Amino acid sequence: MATTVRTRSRKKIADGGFFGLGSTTPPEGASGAALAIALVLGICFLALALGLLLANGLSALADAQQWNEPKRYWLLAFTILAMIPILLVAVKVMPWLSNWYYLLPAIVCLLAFTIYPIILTFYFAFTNYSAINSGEPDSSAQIEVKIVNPTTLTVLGGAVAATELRCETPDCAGRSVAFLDERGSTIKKVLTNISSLSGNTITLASALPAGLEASRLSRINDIQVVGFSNFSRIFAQASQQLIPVFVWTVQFAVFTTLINVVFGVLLGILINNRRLKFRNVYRSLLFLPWAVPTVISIQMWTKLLDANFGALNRLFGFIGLNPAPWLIDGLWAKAAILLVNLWLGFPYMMTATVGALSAIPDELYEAAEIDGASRWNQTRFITLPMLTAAFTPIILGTFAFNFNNFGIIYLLTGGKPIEAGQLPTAHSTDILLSWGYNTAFLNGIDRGMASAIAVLVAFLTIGISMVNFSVAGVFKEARK
Amino acid sequence: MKMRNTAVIAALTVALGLGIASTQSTGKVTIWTDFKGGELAWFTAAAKAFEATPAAKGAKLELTNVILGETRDKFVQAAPKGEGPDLIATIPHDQIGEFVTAGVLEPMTKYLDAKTKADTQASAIDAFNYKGKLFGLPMWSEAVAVVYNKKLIKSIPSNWDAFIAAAQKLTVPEKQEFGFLAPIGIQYHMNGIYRAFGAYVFGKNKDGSLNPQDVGLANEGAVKAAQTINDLRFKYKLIPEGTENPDLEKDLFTKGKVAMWLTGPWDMSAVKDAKIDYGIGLLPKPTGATKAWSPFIGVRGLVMNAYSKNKEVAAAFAQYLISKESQISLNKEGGRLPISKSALVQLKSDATVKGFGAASAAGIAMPNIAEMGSVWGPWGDALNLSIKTANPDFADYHKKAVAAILSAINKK
Repeated sequence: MATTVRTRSRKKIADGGFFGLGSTTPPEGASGAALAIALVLGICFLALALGLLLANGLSALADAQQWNEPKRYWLLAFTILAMIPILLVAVKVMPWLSNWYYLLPAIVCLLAFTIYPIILTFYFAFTNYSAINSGEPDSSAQIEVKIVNPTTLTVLGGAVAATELRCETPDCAGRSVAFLDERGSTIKKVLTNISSLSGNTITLASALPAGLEASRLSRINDIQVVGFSNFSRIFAQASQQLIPVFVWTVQFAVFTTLINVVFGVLLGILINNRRLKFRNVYRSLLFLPWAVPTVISIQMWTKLLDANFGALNRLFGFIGLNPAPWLIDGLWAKAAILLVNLWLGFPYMMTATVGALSAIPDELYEAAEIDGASRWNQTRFITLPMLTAAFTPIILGTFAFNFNNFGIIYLLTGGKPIEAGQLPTAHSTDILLSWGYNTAFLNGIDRGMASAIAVLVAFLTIGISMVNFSVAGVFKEARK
Repeated sequence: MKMRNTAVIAALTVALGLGIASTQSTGKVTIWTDFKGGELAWFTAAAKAFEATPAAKGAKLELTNVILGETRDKFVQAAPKGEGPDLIATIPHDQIGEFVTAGVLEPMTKYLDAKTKADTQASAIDAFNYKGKLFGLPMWSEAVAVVYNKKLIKSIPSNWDAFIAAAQKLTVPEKQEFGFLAPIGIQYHMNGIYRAFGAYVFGKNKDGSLNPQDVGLANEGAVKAAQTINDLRFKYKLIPEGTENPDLEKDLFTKGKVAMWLTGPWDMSAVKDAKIDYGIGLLPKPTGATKAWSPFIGVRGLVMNAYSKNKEVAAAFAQYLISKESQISLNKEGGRLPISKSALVQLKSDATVKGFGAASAAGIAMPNIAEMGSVWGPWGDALNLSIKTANPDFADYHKKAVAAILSAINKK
């Protein structure tokens, strides 16, 4: 009884109502935390609005004729600047909020560099964004025009507007265009729509601002929303691209984690033996692959694995084996990737093993010796179980990293070798991520399609991670 | 304390505002170039010489080195945001279509004065014409041809069978000596053979324009061409695995170990430096081909960023670079074929001009429409598959390639 009265009165004293106006004690419980986060986010968006105003206003001040948008990073800078007065005001009104200000840098970075790109990717996945449909004016669909009045233009030079602008409909109704005025060194761009076209006259849907001189009108290649057509294309070609690439990605992640862990643990156990002579020498030598920057070492491996002139095949020739078609045959190329990844990854596993082993108390081993357990039984019943506990996060992390290990695929094989039945954006050793990269930056630069691939990869990765976590018992731990 | 804070904030804000204003106009002209080695030195000297002329209006030229394959994506992304170069020196004309539809190129019709136009080869101007407007100033043209080492072989036989026999006699793979090397995995180089058998990239409409729906890379001619290229490796054993790498071929040729090599003017600088006694000729017409060997002609030109803020100075530099004297001095440095008619007449006794000029005369310009960007990938894949094993299914690979090309073109 007494406790409840105290809590209630503490609340009454402490706060000026639900928002805790004027009090220094934050509202309690989960709802209090939610309120605090909501307020912090609200501050961010208010600062964004202010920052937009500031950025546009200041750039207009700097050059009254400035027509183009200020760059996006200026917007970020101004948002952060605008946040300062808002924070000061908020702290006056609700002093307890200052406890939550430490979240602001993380939230701003999260919103600007993670949430915003994710939202954009989702949006572009449903459009036909590419090098051609980029929302920019098309230089080949341009005409010289003269302003008759703010909504009417006449075409100069005897060009026929309809053929030059090449719209889908003969009267270009509703087509977005850009009016470009290039006096001096600044280019003024005004975006507007055509309402109709007849012969030599173009009627605009909205009036042009004052102060412009006659120049050019360009048709804009809009980014159009095409619904699910990117996804349906991916699934229509699934047997050629999505399924083989996904299968190889999972195989690559699983096998490389397995091989790296087994090899690293084995070496770690061997190195950890204090009776091993020259132990430190071995440790330093085995650590070297981790010390060399991977970008350099992977490119060296490309040369070493060259089928005709590489050192590895020459070594094979020396000892009497046939040269292997590394990087030429699909299966051998995949083996090469796993081997190079092993070379790059085992020092990390080895070091983690040595660290985990040093955490195992010696008394356990001594007790086992006394009980007459053999070395193998000691390893099996003491070392390995304790290592498993330490290695679960490492295995999960390695799997997740290698699922999206773009670097080694791009540098070692470039996704090749090319085999029959494949499309040019995904070859034998391409993983999901490098397939997305090829779609976005090669062969026609299809960014809408690449965004759709990215969305699919996100769902696949989340799904696989869920499976991984439940198998590893992570959810059980969290619930405990 | 509070007053000082407010003052600091106000000062920062003003500084940022001025910062925005200051990014507007500079006296600097940025140029992206993919020249290397001796040609880059030539280009830097030309830029310095131009800065001293009155047309430069005191602007400074800043040269940035880029890799040819990466220019396309970087330029399309950077230009609309105002971060692209003012000029690119140079791009091959087949990329014009994509750049123009992305809106990043400035029409250059008004920068080509009548005198220069009269002196330039019509095909070069055509190459940079897109939908009736000129989008670049052509600077040189290039086509692949067979460069041969006069010490190893006197001249290229004009009969295909004799050519193969001569190459086989000179091929000793154990000593790394080869009679004939070509990058048989690169579709650009192999186009000559494809055309000889009747394959083509885009068919023509009745009015002479290109029809992107008519892709002729899977017809009978293409299959026969792929068979011929495959034979070079597996039947005649001239180009073993691994030797189709152009860098390796350059290395071997400049060491004097290769008799005949299919390459372009871009490698002539290295050949001249290695003091090889070279000659340039055409590949003979393969057996069974209906037409003569006909490589791609690439015209390289200077293009201007539509969002550039220094258009006059950039245009003046472009005009300076395509002048007759400039083209001749570039040819002396490397081997690039001038497109100025008077320069060609002046240089007509030069070996590289004669040789590559003959190849150009036999060749066909690459299509410059936007759909061309979707052709290279699938075609290259089909070619690579065709040279992998001794008896693959050429028809199947090429049909699949054409299907991939059309699906990429039609979804746009």
